[in-house]
Amino acid sequence: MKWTAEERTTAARVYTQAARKAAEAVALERADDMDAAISVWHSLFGDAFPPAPHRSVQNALTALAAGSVTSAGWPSTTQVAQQVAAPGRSWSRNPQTGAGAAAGPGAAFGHPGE
Amino acid sequence: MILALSEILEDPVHARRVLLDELFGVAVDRLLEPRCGGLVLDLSFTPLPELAVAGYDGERGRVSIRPNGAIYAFPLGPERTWHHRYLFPLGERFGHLAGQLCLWYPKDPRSLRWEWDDGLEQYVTRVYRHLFYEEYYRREGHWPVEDAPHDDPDTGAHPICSALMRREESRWAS
Repeated sequence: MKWTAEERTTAARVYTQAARKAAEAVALERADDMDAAISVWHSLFGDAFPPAPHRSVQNALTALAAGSVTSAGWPSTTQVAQQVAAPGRSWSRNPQTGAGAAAGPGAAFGHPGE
Repeated sequence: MILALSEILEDPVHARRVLLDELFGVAVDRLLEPRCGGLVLDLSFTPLPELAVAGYDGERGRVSIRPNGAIYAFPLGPERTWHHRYLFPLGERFGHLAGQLCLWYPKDPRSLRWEWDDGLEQYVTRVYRHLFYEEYYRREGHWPVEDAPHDDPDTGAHPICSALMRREESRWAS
């Protein structure tokens, strides 16, 4: 069977993505976050690989507070997954006392109708 | 990679591709280049798998970048209550029109704040997190991790109280 140039490009992209995921899973294993690694392997192999154990919304959002997020959307407290998630404390001025830092007229405001 | 301001303004399509490839659950629905310069990105956010199971819907937001690097994030979608969002300068009555999200406490140490050195990817990650934290707050009545109290104290800055945030501040400073 001979592939077309387009098929070769598609195959190269798919294999590159798969290799990247595999490297991410191995890095998570080495960083001792087995559940995050399992989530990546599961996203790569589908049902042939078991899913990561279920965790609560609270636990998932706490993990999202600082660390990284895998390509499969599993927040990890390690810093080795694909997407860095640095910590921070949300804040705002008291609604009764101040309008806070105004974005000004040059900003494109959000609007509920959009 | 780290998407720098100059890179984003010179090649918004590349920036869009990087966000799509590098970030979980982020789609760039629209890129706008205002006549006054800068860039506006309309984004859609898919919830984490655990949140999707719990019935959380997707979120939408707008990131507005000015040529001088000033950057703002606004929620899009239905009108809802917000726990950490600046009021519109014209008052609460117009809050639904503007009011950017307060993604970090300006008096926190550097490791808890975002700056351009961190890249646009980390900024968008903070927007993603903030929008789902807001929905968690609507459902549960508390922020999932430590946030900073509203407004400033009379002197100094709000101390970091939780062991988790103190530990993370130290870890990310090194």
